[in-house]
Amino acid sequence: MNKHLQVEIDKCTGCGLCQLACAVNRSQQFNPSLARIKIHRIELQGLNVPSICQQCANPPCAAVCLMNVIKKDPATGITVPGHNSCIGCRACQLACPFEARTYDHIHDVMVNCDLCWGHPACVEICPTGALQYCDISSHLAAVRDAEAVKRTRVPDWERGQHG
Amino acid sequence: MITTGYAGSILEVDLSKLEYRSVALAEQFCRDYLGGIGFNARIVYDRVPAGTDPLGKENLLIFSAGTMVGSTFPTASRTEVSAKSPMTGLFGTSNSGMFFGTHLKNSGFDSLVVIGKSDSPVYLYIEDGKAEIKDASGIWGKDSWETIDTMKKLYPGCEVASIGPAGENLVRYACIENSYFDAWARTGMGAVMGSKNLKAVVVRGTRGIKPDNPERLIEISWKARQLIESSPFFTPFKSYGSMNAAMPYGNFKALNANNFSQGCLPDWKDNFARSQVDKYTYGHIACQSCIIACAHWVEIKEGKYKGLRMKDMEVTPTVSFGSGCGMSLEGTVKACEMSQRYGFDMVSVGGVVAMAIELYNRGLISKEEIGYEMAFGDDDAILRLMDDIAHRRGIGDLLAEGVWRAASIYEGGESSAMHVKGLEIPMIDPRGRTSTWSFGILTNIRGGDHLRCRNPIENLRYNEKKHQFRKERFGFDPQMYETLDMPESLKAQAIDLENDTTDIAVMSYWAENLINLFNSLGVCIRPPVEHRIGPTVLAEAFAVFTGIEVDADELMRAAERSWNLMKLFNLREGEKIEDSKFPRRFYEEEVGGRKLDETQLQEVLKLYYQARGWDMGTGVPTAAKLIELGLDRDWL
Amino acid sequence: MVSIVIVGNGAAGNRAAEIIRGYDPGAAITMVAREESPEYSACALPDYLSGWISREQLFIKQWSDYRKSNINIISGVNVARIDAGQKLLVTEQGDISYDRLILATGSRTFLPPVPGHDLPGNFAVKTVTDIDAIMAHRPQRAVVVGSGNIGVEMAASLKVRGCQVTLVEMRGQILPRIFDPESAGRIRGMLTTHGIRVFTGEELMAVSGCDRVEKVSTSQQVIACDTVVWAAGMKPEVEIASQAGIEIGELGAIKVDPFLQTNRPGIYACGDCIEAVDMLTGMPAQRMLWPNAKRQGEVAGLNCIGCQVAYEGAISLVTSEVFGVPVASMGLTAAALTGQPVQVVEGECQGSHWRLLLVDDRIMGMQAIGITAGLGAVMAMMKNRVLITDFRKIVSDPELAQRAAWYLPAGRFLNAG
Repeated sequence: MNKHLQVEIDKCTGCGLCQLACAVNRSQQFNPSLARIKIHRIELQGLNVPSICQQCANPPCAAVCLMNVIKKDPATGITVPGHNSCIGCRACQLACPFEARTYDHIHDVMVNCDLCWGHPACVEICPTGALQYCDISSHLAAVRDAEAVKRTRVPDWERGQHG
Repeated sequence: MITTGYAGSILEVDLSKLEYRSVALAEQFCRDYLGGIGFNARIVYDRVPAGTDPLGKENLLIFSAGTMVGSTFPTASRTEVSAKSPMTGLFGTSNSGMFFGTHLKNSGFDSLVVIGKSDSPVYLYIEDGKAEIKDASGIWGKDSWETIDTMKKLYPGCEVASIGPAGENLVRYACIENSYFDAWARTGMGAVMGSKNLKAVVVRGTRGIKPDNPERLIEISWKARQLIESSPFFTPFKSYGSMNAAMPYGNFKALNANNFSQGCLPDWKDNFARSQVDKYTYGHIACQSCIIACAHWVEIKEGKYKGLRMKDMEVTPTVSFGSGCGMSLEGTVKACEMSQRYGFDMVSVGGVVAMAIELYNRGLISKEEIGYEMAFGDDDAILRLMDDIAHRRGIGDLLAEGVWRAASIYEGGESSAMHVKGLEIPMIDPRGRTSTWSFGILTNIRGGDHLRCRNPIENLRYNEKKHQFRKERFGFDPQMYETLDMPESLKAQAIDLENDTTDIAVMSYWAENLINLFNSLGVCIRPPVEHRIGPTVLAEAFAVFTGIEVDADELMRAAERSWNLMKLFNLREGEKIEDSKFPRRFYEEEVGGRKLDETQLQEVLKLYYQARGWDMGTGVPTAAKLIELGLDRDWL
Repeated sequence: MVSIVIVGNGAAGNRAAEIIRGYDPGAAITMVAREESPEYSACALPDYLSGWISREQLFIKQWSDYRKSNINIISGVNVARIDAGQKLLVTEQGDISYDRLILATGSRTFLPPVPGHDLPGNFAVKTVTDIDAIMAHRPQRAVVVGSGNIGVEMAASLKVRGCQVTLVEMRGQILPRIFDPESAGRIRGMLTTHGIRVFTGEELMAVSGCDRVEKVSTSQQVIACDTVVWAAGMKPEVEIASQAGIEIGELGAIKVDPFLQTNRPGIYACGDCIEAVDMLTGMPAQRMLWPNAKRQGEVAGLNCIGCQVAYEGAISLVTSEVFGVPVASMGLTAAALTGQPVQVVEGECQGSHWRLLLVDDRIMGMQAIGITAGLGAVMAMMKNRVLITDFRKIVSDPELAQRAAWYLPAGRFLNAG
């Protein structure tokens, strides 16, 4: 896996094309609620914040999955939602700090961005470059990784205090 | 029943009976009227009887999402709201973007028809095929932003159409606020909503819209996007939005300045220059599926209105307050915020305030009557007057009726009322520039308004008077001519490449139909879109989205059909040919050394009627035209 | 070549085996399991009972998966004792020697010693065979004893199967360990709306019947039934550990250090059988939940092959669906926070309800009914011990908000943003 989906928030205008392209690509309908990418629109601050699976190295969604169906694909490093046995319990949704798990209400399973197998429809359609599919060694990727580590890390509990 | 492209149903809510029902869309209806304004035209024409009181319970209020809304087709986001207008007594209609239409369609409805009147304040909640009529006594009296705040907390992820105090108090030019910063503003739709005791419409949907052919639709969306991006208007619009028109029109002395008395304020170019506006603008905000994102995020970081944050710097309100009333740039932003909270049409309220100041200056309105001194450019007094109008306090009660009605109280007051057919004229002064755009104010179904007729290739650089009054300069190289999507024969009539002119009458006919098509399909009329997106690509998109095969001609005919139907509505309500005239001032007083010639304008109007297939003498659609459009049963 | 033996084939044991294999392809890994099935999800047992998923879907692994990972699994075997001195596991099928031992023995259903608890028609809810047995029994009228998440889910699943269901809880509310009385009351309402009878504050005194279950007697009443489902709690499985001299904590589970090692060097423990530190309080606690077991398996596995990883503590995270409505609990309840100045932030919209518990400006627990979107951000804030004051600062400043965007979805629960 050498490419990742990166978000530059300040370029996002909130047009929602990414959500429509995602939903139509994966669910054959224009339905923002089925999109694997979400946009939080903080209207009174003029802020549009896309949130998307960060493909964490050590995904907290997989760590809590009650059915062990969320896996890292060993070849691509993509966090793959396994649908066969997903019971739609949404534990992964609680565990994901990026709000990047989507409840597919048609199939009653939880899904996440799997980068459209290397051709993310959202990136193609993004009119501003807020979404980019770029090399993992890029600067953006480094920023993303640092954030992902920070967000998914466990707290610095004062070790030894109780142990 | 239609299941692709369309949501497939119309929601009808009877507020008198507190009932609702869902009516399936018929394919023929979709073919004939497409969606958006087309649906509204048919429904209003059929169901609002002649002579209905616009603020009575017999009037109805329709929200219709454009057909392409909710898809990836660039800029497809717009929803049309229509009713009989309390301003003009004619067809009232207004168009707005953002995300309301997408949610309406995702909730299972292409249109919402509100009939009757509730005894007490209510709001409507629509989600996934269901509607609830809910008590709004807790939010009645709150401004639009507070209302939206409350609703968004109650229903996270929803979209809200609401009225503020202006709508509640039946200020005739009240708007319906579309989320925080956008509105269905013109022709008083908010007053109609207020008259029904309907505070808000809240929509939220997860149903999805199924395209007939997803792959093709994505392809066509791409094609449309490339077309729009190839327009020379694209880059300026993307970076600066509609404010692009502000400076050229100032240079032409073609702006509404101090109630259409000057053409351009002396310090306009300094105070509203791009460098000034850029001080306060940050980032861009898009409506659903828009690749342009023309709106700015504005933050006032100094002075009296420090801390003001909103989406703004759209040219129409900026001119309405900044030039029409002479307000400062910061004061203009404040006036916009106030208009949004109170729920005013910013063009009309600006027009009303400007008229009031002029009447005050003329001595027709006394200081005692207002309660304070008024002057152009006095931000505080203007904002105070707006507050009085919203609450119908003191003279505000009279001014809430709009310039046409309010001026009639004062002897000789009419000469200060800048309206056409009862609706305040926005932004552009036709004396400063002869164009399709300004001519369209006369022929507009809505009355004094500039958004339903605009030359798709208007060159803002030129304003030469060497062409006769029937023409405006074309001003582009022939490639612009080639790339314009317009039937060849009509194009040849409309544009004379040899003499470098555009025929205003013929172009108006085309532009009105084209914009009506956009308003039917929910596509934005911003210049780069209007320039490159025509019936050919729209027909392809429509067909693959809805599964209904149409060609470009059929699509244009549908747009023309609903335009004619709205005209028939206006005629049924008593519109006369002589109503299509500008205020006396435009013919009598010079601005920038120019005034209009009434005879010449009449001549252009006749040519326009001819282009439309209407009777040149009466301005009424002919039987032949109506038969051609399949409207024979609607012939008066 | 180091030889690692794992006792237990549940979430913790399997995770330990996987992580060791991931780090050390050469290690000899042996798993010893009492049950005769490959790994399955115990959490989904109620879903299997209700018919929502098939029996096959329960299984996370096939036998072949163990072979593929070169893990030697000995199933259907009871461990008799541990000979820590000889580093030997004594089983009924012979001795197994180890260099490192990981105890992931799990827990068993707690059956109160009431008369009649051994009559046919009594069932535990622990293993897939328990559910098979319940299904074979064809229950018509069931009493579910205990109203933890398993009890509630079992009651709902039995209802979906067409059973007449009564839920009996000894404490004053249902879901006492993960929901406050207010939220629990709402969930109780959802159960009763769907026809489940719920009795709280009633202790089960006896099960009776001729040769099978016919009725139960509670402290208040007699309820006729043909099935009793025991969901009154779990006991950590610690017998072989305690016999081997491994220290057992006050809560009755194996005591471990931050590296999940027992007081016997080389013997690690993880999963339901250990007494873990609570992530939020730092106090020993038992959070016998699947996600905790998996993480502990990981930590124990890593430490036993020499990677020093301290366990950050267990946190409660429970989600469940009650007749189509998602309910979730994270962190601690008000009862668990007794003695601390708890500030409650409650909210409601469109049939969903949430309740946040704040202590010293930090989120310590949250319960939500009918809503799960945005809870990930709350969980992250809770784990990262984010101050609510800081959060409010962040969300009200567009520049900061943009840089800490992942927190924003939590705003709706805190009346911010």
